[in-house]
Amino acid sequence: MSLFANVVARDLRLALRQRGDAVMVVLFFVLAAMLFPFAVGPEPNLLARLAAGVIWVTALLAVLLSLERLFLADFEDGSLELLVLAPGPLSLTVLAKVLAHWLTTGLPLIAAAPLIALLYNMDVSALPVLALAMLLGTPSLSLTGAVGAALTLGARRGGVLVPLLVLPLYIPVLIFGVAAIDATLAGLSARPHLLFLAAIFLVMLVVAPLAAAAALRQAVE
Amino acid sequence: MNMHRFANPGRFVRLAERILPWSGALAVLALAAGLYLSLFVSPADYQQGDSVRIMYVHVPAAWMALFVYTVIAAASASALIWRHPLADLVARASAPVGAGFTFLALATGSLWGKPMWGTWWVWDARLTSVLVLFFLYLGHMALSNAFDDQSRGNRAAAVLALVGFVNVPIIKFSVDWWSTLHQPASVMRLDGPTIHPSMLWPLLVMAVGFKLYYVSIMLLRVKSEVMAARLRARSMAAVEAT
Amino acid sequence: MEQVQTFLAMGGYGIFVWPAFALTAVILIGLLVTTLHRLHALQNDLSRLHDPRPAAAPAHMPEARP
Repeated sequence: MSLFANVVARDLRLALRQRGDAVMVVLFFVLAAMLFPFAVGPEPNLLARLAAGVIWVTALLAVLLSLERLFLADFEDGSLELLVLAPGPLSLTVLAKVLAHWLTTGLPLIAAAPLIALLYNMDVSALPVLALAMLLGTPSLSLTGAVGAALTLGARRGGVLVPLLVLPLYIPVLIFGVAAIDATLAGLSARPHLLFLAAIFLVMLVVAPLAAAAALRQAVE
Repeated sequence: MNMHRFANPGRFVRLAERILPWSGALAVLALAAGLYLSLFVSPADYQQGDSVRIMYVHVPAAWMALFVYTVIAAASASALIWRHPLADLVARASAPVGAGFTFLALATGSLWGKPMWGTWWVWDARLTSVLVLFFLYLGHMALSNAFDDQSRGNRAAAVLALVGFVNVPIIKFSVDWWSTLHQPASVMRLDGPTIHPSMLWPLLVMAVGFKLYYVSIMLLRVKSEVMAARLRARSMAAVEAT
Repeated sequence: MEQVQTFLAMGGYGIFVWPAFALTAVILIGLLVTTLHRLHALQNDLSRLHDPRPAAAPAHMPEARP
């Protein structure tokens, strides 16, 4: 467990030192969401209807942009080999890195989401469900993304490959994330959608660290 | 690259050469019979008219799209768990064929949808899941070709195929769920659960033809992969000898 | 002649039915052709390399064209 805590602390320290990373993710999130009113027009009712979808899609893309730094720096400076050779299960180390990644991307995104909801004139009553849905959904994004990031280490055109590998797998999170908010706005229960988000999270919590660990072993072989 | 890795593939190539004449001939036979049955013998649907004939290529293609992905996942699992030297090659050889079937299912579905639904595309649950499956295939192919070291690409693609396989039911389920939330006003089901025998037979013959075609092409492609691996091993040996 | 025309018309659905079958043919045959092309190219490359083990490189495969 100490290795786990060490990896989390180290990655957080690195992320905080280059403060740019987390800030850039949030900045991208807000900027990309800001583009839609220019594209579809400023009509408040239309924007309110689009709000949930825009928040989720831009959050997916923001997470996608941040995936590269998950393993690439460690891979290039050789510290990934040390992590792979370290005693204890590698999947636990992957989980630690994913946790650090989520703390520096998912969490800031959740904090920034109400701002976009406000700009999009979304009903305030849906804000708690929005936060809860993102709290359940964004860890799955980090977990799935870790698999994509690990698989493309050392690949030609790794940067363009990751979206192709990861975005199709993000679709379920997008569907239930938006559906939870839409249900709340329609006066229905968001519970089933939130439960599905939780189920997807649990599945990925098991699958993703194993797959990413296998991929990392291949990368340093 | 030691030669014992190819002892097994060598035997496979000999086996493939014995199967190929049969599978190839039967595939041609079944496809020809299926074509004849679906264009001449089977009746026009009382609702959909002659456009129902598109079903005889659309449905087998869609079945194959799923079947080939299952084959890839099974091959990937045995490549990762038992390190079977051929399994990698089967997955690698199957992916473009599966992508071809998936594209075919999408394109013929679109050609069928235009007269039936009035548009080339609807965000129907089935069409949407097949579209996602197409992207899973493309990702698999791109990843397996993204490395200078071929075997690294194969193993990375194997991990991706397994992760994808776990996700396929989740994606399918979520897309079904999503589509019932946003049901278009009147969507006509393309293929109901009940189908008249006069239409079932052409469909089954065609499906058998597609499957035999896949087996033949897959064997040919695995043979190519074995040869490519031999070629790499030999040119590496030549470099080391000089 | 008239029979051929009604057959080609497919009850008015000809412009959808025929492209569907044509596309199927194009993809199935296209995959076969590229597969065979690659196989022959590899066979040539292998036989061109000097090979001390003749059994490992089959010289000719007549059944490669089903």
